[in-house]
Amino acid sequence: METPRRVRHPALTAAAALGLSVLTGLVVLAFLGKFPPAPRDAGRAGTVFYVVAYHYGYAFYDRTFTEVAAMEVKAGEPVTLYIVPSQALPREMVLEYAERSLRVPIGGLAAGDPQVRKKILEDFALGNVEHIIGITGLPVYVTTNVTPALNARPFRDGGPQTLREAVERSDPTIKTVTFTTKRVGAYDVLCVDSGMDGAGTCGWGHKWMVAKGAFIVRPP
Amino acid sequence: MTRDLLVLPPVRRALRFRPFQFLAIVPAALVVAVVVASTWFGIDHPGFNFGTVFTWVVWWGALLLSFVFLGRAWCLVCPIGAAGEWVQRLRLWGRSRYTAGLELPWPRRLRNLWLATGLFLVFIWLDNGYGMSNSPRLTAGLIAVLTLASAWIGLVFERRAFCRYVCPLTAFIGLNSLFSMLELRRREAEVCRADCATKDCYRGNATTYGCPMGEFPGGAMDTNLFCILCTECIKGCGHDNIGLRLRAPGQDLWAMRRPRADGAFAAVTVVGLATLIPLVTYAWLPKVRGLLAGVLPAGLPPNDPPRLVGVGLLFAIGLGASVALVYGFSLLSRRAAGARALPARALFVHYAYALIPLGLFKFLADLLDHALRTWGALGDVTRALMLDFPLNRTVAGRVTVLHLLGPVETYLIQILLLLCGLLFTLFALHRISLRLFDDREIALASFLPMAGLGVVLTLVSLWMLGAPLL
Repeated sequence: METPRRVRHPALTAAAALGLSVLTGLVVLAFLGKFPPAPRDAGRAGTVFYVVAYHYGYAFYDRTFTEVAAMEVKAGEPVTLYIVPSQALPREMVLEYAERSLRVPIGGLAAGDPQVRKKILEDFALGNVEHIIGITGLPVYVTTNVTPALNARPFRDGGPQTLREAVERSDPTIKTVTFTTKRVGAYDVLCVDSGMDGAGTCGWGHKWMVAKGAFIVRPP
Repeated sequence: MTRDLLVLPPVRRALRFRPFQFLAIVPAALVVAVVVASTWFGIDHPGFNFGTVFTWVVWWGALLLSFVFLGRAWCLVCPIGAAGEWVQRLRLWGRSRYTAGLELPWPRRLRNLWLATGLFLVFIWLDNGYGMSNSPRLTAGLIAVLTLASAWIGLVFERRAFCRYVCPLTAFIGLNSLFSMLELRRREAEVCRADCATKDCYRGNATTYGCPMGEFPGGAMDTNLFCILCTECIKGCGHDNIGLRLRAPGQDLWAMRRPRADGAFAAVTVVGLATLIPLVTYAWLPKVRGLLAGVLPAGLPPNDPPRLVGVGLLFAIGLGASVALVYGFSLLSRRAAGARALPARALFVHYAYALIPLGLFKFLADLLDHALRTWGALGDVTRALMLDFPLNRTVAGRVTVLHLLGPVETYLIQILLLLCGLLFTLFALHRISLRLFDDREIALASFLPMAGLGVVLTLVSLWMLGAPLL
């Protein structure tokens, strides 16, 4: 018995080719970053906070550049975080922020242990200067970009003198993220990059860079 | 000794059920869809992204293990290959009267494994040079490109030309599946030869398709190389003459009646990628990259042209060394066997397949180390995925790094795995030598140099697994 041959149908072939062409085009656009369109939150800054990431901790500031212990928002409102690596700022400010790490126990070392200062300076010398900031359970994952500005030096020359100036002049070291969260709760801010040995791009102390419950979402 | 699983009524009913393959593909397709969403839109950190952890730890590991027990079972459920078939057939399982495909024959010059082997090398080069498995976006891109390629090729060419000749994994999967403990074959050769005039397993009939891989289960198919276990021939055979048998592992390696040069080269490539190529790459990459940085603009990995070119060059050197080594030992084998021996090229083609267990068990040894270090992350990334399903944009917190075994215990198991691979290779080499030479003494003389090659490659693997550099 002869096997019945299937019937080729030019219209079906054309339809399939058209469908595949559209899909291929969408994939190419997605690769070029043109698809899908920007999320709804883009352009709506909402509540703003500035997060200075230093070795090995964070300082949080509100819209008026006043330091706050935690970032508090209401569920459903858009939030924009400006992530500022401390090394975007002048040397004195970098060291001032780093001094904060000497006031708390870190990595099994007691508060004020000179080992911590040594580790910080070692990380500066090694070029462990970036931070990858995340907030657990929220769509926040931002890598700082201070390496080009440092130009292989531990401190920056000719950069902004204050946090406000850095923000106002849109310093290229600063990264932003805008998001909305609906779930009420307190979330940890942390340095995400975990190398297998616990030393990420910000070096020895990165795995202790956790601000417990520092992002608080209140009911609307 | 074999056991036909199709004599078991539930297995038989399931495999003859028309939508069987479609139902097997659906769960895999759903997982791949989640992986694509997660890698495309999700967090751009390989250790925190469900898609990358699932693809490069779970899927890759399961794929390697499946070679040992189930042959090309991944191809049975692979939604990428199915995409081309669905476009072509316009049906998800039943046989349709119409086709959207042009059904052109695949070009004669490309009816081999050369293209697939080249694409496999590119695939591994992209991973080594560009860190594909460390990039969620590149992982998503890879899946998208392969799916589109499968669909376009399915639209233009007949059967599963993509799966047989183009898929970058087809040579890797097919060759390693020669080792499998499962085979799909005709039961009685005489039934196919004398009683069957329609050859439905190859041509199809009113209700079933012919073999999508262009194999002829009732005739020439004597290995797992291209059998994707789609069960189409089981459904189509009017003489109930197809069996799905459990067997001793590795049988195809020495039972293959017509080994081909393209398959032999692919086998040497796969074994080289497990042994010599990584050795050459990791030993020389820093120096070669340093040299190339003088002539090419350097950047940060993965966008680092000196590294990309360096990896490519060292891949070429490592591959050349692998082929030269196997050919050199084939020459030695010919000399040892004396005047009545086959040409070295023929020995290369026959013996190369026997080296496959060395590569497979080295890949398994690498996987063991990887899985023991990263298994804890799977729970974390799955939890993060659930928080923002399926886009996976949220941070999981810390990735759990739990070492199930210490480095010494892991290395001991890896040694056992490599020795297993060596034993299978030695056995396959021995059986091939007995097939090639009637005289047992000549066969032994021909076998010994190739056995030496197996030992050398195992020592290379052992050294690499223990080297602090790696």
